[in-house]
Amino acid sequence: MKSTRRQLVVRTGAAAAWLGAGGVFAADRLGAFDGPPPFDREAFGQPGRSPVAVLPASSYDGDLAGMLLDGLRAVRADVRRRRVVLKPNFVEFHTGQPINTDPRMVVAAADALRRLGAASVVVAEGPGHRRDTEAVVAQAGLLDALDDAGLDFVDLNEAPAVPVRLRTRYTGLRELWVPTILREGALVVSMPKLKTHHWVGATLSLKNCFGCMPGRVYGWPKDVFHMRNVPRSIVDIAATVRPSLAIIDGIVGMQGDGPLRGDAIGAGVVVVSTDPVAADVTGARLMGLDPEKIEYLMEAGRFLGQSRSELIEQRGEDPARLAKRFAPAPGFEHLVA
Amino acid sequence: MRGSSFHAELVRVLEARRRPDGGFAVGAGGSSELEPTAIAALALGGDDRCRSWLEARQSADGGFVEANGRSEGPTGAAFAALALEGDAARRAVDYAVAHRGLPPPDASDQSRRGWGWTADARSFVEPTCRVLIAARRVPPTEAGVRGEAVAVLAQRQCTDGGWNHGIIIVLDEQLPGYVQTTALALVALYGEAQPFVRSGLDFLRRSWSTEPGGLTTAQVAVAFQLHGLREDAKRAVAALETIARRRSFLGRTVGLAWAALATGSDDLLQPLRGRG
Repeated sequence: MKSTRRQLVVRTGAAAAWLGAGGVFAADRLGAFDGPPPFDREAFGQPGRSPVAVLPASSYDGDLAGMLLDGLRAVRADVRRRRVVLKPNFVEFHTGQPINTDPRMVVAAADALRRLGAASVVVAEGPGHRRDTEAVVAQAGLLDALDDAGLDFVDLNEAPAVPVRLRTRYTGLRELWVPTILREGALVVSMPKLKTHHWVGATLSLKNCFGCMPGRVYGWPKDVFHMRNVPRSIVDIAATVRPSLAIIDGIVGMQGDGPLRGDAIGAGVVVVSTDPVAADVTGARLMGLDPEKIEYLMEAGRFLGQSRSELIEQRGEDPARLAKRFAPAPGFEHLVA
Repeated sequence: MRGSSFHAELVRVLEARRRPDGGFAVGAGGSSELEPTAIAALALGGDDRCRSWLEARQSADGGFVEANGRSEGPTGAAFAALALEGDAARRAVDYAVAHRGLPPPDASDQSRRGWGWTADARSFVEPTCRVLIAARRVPPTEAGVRGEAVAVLAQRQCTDGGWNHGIIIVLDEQLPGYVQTTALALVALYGEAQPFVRSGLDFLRRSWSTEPGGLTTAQVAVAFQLHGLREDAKRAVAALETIARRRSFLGRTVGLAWAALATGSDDLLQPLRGRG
């Protein structure tokens, strides 16, 4: 069979930007590191044991807030008196495609976090492709859902931002512009969709942080991060945003050619954790992928959170029981567990 | 619809958002910034306070630095050139022209690069549109800029006739056009009579209502108006009136300013038409 350009790129493991036809997104391999670790150990500490709750949920019509409340309690999430920013995934909208975190899940998370004592909850996102955020979130049904629930939305592409010095050195960038709403004591909750991804294998709560980078600084798409290698950018961005909680919407996930053009798969699961790395490791397992083969995830596990299975405390359901066999993104068949 | 009470209300809301320094911020709070101030200047008919604000922020090289110390993307200066006059406008457009992006990934003609959002990224559609719009009003010192921009836009057109951010194929798959980007491309292509422009208008006429954002719909109305599609423009403005009832719309200065531009007198569009 003739190899596609995608397969060639993946097989060669190219670390340099690929500038062939359609290769706007740069390399999909993290690459090797020489010399000292590319992160400041004192800024992150050593990952310890991390709890992850795996919650079965067959549809979006049940008591999602009650389920999330149970999950948040199971991982001992403490949001009391905190200013919470929910960051769902609305990177793009295509009719009928399960690209986005379901708006009902977003509203339910806000409800659960309020019930746990959060001082305030807002929803924030900076879509990656389209300039008009309002159009994306209106099409996707998020605006109406938030209006009905009395929740405010913040466009991270346009919100005031400040430069933040990086404590990691994966992309070579010395600073990132970060919306102020994500700083100043905010508790950031990354709320991705459970999806495969055609450049990095899987997109979960760490990759979801791409949407925190303001478009008015980095453009649409946020090409600088693709030019500087997607997996490396994931680690730098996630280590800068540092979400404190992850809630992964896997009730309906996306398999195959994710993150935009894959197929829906009813995975029937939600993942909650105070450790986004541990949440993503579990999310990968729930997709039938081997997290140890997802390079950016293992790299993040060196300093940002727990990636070692024996140090992840599973609460709720056994992920092995709920795991589905997602079709991997083309070229990422080697990730299948 | 143009010159309506809706326009007057948009201008009133816009004026109320002006910062004490004469400029406009992107959102409800924060400091004045380049793009909202430049577009507000157009919407307000060449506002002197906006122009003064822009002149005060212009660097010696023609570019702009925001109040928070961030260098504005290179093509932000192109929008500023629409609101500035004389030497300041010329320096702004020359600055934008001089800061080309890296070549698009599948450009068949690498000499026609176009412009990007940042200095270290590839060329994309909207930044190239900005340069083309500015170059029509203020001819840059460098020759051939308009031809280069038009050629880049022709290359970056999606198979459905629209434009997206500027990537038409990813991993062997054709990507669709976006309404907002298509609208701005058609604003930029005002006066161009080539067949690909007609394809773009066809895309916009059949697709514009699928992306119900304020900025999008306002730019759609402007594009229709510039291309003489007055009935389509009226429909877009009517949709804009509905969108304007959302809280989320009024909080966005750039979209608000484009909406004021779309609903005001035809003279407001003259800077976008340029010298033809």
